[in-house]
Amino acid sequence: MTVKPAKAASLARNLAKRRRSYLGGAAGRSQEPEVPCAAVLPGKPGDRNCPEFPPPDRTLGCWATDAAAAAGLCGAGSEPSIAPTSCAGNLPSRPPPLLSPLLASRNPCPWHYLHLCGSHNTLAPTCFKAKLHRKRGSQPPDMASALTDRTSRAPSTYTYTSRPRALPCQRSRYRDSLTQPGEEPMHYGNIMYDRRVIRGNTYALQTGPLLGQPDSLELQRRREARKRALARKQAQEQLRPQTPEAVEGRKHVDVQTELYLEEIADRIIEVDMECQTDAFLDRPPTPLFIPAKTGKDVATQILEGELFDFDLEVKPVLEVLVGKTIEQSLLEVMEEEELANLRASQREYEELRNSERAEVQRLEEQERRHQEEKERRKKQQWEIVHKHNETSQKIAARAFAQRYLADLLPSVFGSLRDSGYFYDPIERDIEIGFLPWLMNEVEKTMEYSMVGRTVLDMLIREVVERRLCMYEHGEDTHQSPEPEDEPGGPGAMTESLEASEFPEQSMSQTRELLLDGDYLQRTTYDRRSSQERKFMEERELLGQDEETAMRKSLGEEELS
Amino acid sequence: MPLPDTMFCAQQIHIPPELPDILKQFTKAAIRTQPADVLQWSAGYFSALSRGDPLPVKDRMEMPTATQKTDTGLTQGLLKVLHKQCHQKRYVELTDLEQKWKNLCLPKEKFKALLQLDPCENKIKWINFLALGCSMLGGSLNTALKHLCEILTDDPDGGPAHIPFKTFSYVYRYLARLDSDVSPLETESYLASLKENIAAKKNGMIGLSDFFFPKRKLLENIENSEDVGH
Repeated sequence: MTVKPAKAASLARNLAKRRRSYLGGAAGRSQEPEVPCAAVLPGKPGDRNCPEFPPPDRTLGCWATDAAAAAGLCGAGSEPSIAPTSCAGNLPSRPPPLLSPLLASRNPCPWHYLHLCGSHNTLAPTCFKAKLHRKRGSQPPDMASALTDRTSRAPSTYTYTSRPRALPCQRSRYRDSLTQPGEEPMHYGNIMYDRRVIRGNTYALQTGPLLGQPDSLELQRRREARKRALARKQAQEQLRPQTPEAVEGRKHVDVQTELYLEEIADRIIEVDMECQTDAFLDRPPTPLFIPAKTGKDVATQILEGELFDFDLEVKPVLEVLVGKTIEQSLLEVMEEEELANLRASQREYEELRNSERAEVQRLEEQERRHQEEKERRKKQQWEIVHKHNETSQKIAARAFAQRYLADLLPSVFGSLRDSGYFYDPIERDIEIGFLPWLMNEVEKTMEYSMVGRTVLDMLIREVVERRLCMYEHGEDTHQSPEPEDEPGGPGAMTESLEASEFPEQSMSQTRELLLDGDYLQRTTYDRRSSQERKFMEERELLGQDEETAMRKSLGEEELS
Repeated sequence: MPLPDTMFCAQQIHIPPELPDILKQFTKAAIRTQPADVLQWSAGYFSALSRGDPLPVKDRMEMPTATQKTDTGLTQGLLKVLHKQCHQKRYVELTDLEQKWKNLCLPKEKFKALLQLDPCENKIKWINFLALGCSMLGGSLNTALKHLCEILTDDPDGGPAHIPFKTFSYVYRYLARLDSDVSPLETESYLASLKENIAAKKNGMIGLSDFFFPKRKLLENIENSEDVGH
């Protein structure tokens, strides 16, 4: 209230600058005021119940964030106001010393550097109550109201700070509570029913009466309520018995009666101690734990050769070495021996087998050859036998054939002869040539005779007929044609007869034939037979039936 | 690291790290070789080891046959050891050979006897000595050659012991020459016949099976099994 916003802002900036320097020299900050959150309101971290106000000795990290936030906010230059959440979360336990010079001028108490009437007047009561440090007289009495005013005047965000204060207990320790000004009745009631607790969303700007211009009605009501409470309290206090008033001219003074005077002060001697570690250092390695030496130190001396006797010590080693060596080598030798034996016997066996196989093959070959030889011999033998058989058969056959055909030849010859194949050529010739001719001649002769006879008969007949005719007719017919035919006929016959080689025989024959003129049938028959004979002869001269022809001719000769 | 002057506990005893290995190898060699005089043989072993020579160790364990001093104690294994030690050089110093002979704890008399078969001064052709040794092992020429094959061969144990035919024929001739029973003609004819046998098969190598016909164990086995089967 007293400080204008501009000044507050400048102060804030100063603080911010200082803060930046503070960041560098964080170590020597024990006495410095806490890092100002520039936009943070003066407020007391009143209520220790408030979880958002962590205990005073926080690490730098928190400060740094706050510083950063503050710096950022400072840089913005805007009306320092903090987002309620950030403020709420990051508010240092100590209220930020906004205006240290101012505060310093006022009171040396480190706790009382709060500039309660700063420009940043947003007081967001995030805690239960903002309990003011009443011991300080410099505090304006209407702090609460100022606070509330500020609250009401704050434009946008919530902030709340309160001084750390002792937890109020319900019972008053001292009888006299008149010195205590009427406090604001502290109703530690349920947070749910605390009017300061903001209901609803906190992210939206509350344009309601809490942040904006509060309703005057609201204010009045609050004031009246407060007045009423105060009055009630005072009335109660009046009733309580108190020490009587001082006598005239005297004054009640508090006096210590103990042996040693004790300074009574409200102020609690506090010393800020800070400690800081390097930023982000690794945890150093734990130092080696060397236990403390316990016990007694005792010394002794060992002479050479006492502790260690080589021969004794080496014995087990040697035993193992030699024993194992021998054992192992024995085993190995046995194994190798066995293997070599196996292999040798294997090879021997193979050798044997090979040789035997060679032998077997040889024998097989031999056997095969023998077989072949045998086969060949057998075949040969068989052929020989076969041939022998054949030969004997042939011989037998030949003999038989010979015997069988022994008669054949004579019979053949005989039959041939019989058939006339073997002929005397002269005879044949005679037969073939002469006889037919002869027969022909004979036939001819006979025919002549026949003809003659026939003619004669014809003549006779004619004559007879004529004579008959003549007889019938008379006797004037002729004798002239007869004598012509008669000589003609016999003349022919004689001619023919003369032509023939055997005229006499033929003549005789014809004569005989003529003489047998009675036998007309016979003559015709002869004629026919002679004709037949002629035909036959003509045929048989050339044909095969010469035999029959000959026989016929012979037969006929005999007949004739 | 020398022993510290004062040792206080058994843990300070320092064992060289190579020691166990050396000991083991030594022990194994000793077990395999079964020398009659371990000390003598160990001296030979370590001196050969230090020189870097082949060690007088048998490759396969052989039960020692020597019981008396008169018995040569010379076994195929021992000959093989000697061969392993000596065969790099063609000629062997007698003294050296004697030393090796002693290291194997073989009787000295036998050594002398062996040398008497084919006397020579300071040096002896190793192959000759080997042949003599083999002849000592076996009774007949054939058995001697069998041992020789088995000693000289590169093939693994039990396998067909192949050695070059040249070596074989050389040794055969040498031994036959020493042996008065066998005439040179027989030798040559035998060798010629063997050569024909192997000419087709192997690359100039002759194996045991070509000249040495062991008992047919297989038949025995078959007989045995048949007996068992009944």
